[in-house]
Amino acid sequence: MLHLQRPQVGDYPAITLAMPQGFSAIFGPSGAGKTHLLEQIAGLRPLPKGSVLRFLDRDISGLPSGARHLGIVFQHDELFPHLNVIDNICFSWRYQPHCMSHEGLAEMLHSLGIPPAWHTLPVHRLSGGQRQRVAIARALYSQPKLVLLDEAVSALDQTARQQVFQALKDYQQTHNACVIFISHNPNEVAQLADYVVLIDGNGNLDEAGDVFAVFSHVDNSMAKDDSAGAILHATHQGALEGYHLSSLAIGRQIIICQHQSGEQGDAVRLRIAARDVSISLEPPTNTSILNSLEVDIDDISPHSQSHAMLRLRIENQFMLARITQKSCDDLQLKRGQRVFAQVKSIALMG
Amino acid sequence: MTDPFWQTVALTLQLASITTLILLCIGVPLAWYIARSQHRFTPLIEAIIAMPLVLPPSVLGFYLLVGFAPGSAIGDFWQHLFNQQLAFTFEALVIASVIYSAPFVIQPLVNSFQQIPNGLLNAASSLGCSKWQRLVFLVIPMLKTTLISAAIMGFAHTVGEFGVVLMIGGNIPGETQVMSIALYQEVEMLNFDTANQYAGVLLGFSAFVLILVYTLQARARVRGWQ
Repeated sequence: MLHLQRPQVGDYPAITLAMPQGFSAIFGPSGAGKTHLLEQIAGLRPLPKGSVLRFLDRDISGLPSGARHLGIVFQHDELFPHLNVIDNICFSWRYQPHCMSHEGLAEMLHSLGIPPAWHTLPVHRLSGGQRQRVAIARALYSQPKLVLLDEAVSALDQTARQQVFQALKDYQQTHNACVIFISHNPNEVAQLADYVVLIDGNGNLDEAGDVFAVFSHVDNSMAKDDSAGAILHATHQGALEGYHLSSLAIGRQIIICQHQSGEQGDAVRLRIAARDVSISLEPPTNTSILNSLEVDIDDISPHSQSHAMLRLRIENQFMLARITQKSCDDLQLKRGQRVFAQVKSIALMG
Repeated sequence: MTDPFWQTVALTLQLASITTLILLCIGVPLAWYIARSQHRFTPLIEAIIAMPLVLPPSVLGFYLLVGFAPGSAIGDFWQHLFNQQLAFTFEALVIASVIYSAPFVIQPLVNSFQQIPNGLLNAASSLGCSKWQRLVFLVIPMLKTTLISAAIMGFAHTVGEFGVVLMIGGNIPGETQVMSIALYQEVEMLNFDTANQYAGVLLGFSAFVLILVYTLQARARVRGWQ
């Protein structure tokens, strides 16, 4: 658990945070001071007087960065240009007490997709995505319990990103680490985070909490975002033969999406963007939209001058729907009402 | 070639080597401090170091001579410490050369130290380097070429100095007579043959050194950084 209490100084507003072990995302627009916050946690920028910074019940605010036993991956990888790949990764052997064994290192490099052929390459020969993987390996080599990632996978393609996410998940589990990552990408947050901290455009803490809860609220800065959408737990049911589709279950209801490999009963996360959901009072018939879910309206909140945001209860979970204010009035939607949510597209988070 | 000729060459190289060594020991930490410091007195330190660039060497030599002379504070302190006078000795030449060649070593170091991205230093800090470990294990290996160039420039500049040496060294063969002074003396005595030897060696040396420095820098650029 990481506790941070920072009083307001200059342009940076006061912030109080408690991030559990596991994955915590810091999500917010550019220029909101997210990197600044991460660097303060890392000890690379001074914390203002009166701040509290505790990790695993130990006060780390007075320690120099290197003594905090953390790993940080910077937005621009900051690999050392005069060293080759493996010397970059193992740079901390001289300074850190718990660096990985030879076998541990080989295993981590394999999981991150860093082949032995790269080891002796100078880092300027690598592509942006390859450099990011090396930077992650360098941060994890000393086996820190606190891992800070500042948009660490931005240059990776989708396949490589999934591989790195899996490697990070494995690392988090084996080391019971607290992984804090900055991201602009709601899908990334939805896939990886257990806990999320929303920062608004002025750098104020908007909301912090369990990612499922925060992403399903209608009145925070995430909901105001065009990409707003809730995350749902589902279980894998199996493939729909001949259609390259899969079916998933949310409680008793079935949802159909792009084919996803997996065993029956596997838990998956899926994210439904609020703008992809429309509301119908009757069970829709003769429509091309595959997914129609029976839901109860839990909350209605104005989203913009023209749109309203609905929070819908499905089984014991929540999803969001963004519809026009006019439809909301025409259909006379109100809280507690049973309606049908038509879902146009679903993002599977694995 | 005469024996005194090689004696002078050897003395010149000895002076330049010792000066360069001292300058590297003082210059690297000092340049690191200047490059990272935001203290308001730092520009003053930089100005003092840069002084020999603009000051006529004879002016510098004059003040050093006055400062080193018997009866002056430094001169007497030296006398007390080593039981010999300071002015007109090899030691005086070393001190003067260090001051005179300092900007040629320190300024390029400060410039390249300042160009090191903050992010790299932050990365090293987060991995456990202390402030001075960053200098020793990151910055120096990273800027090897700059360091070598700076050392070569300091060395070459010391070989080429004239005015300061003339003022405080006198012209004692085997003690303070360096090549540039010997060249001047031979010309005055109309020994153009010997003068030609000195001039030729100095010319060849200077050309060699500059080609070496620029080759090193070109190679570093090809490697994709610096």
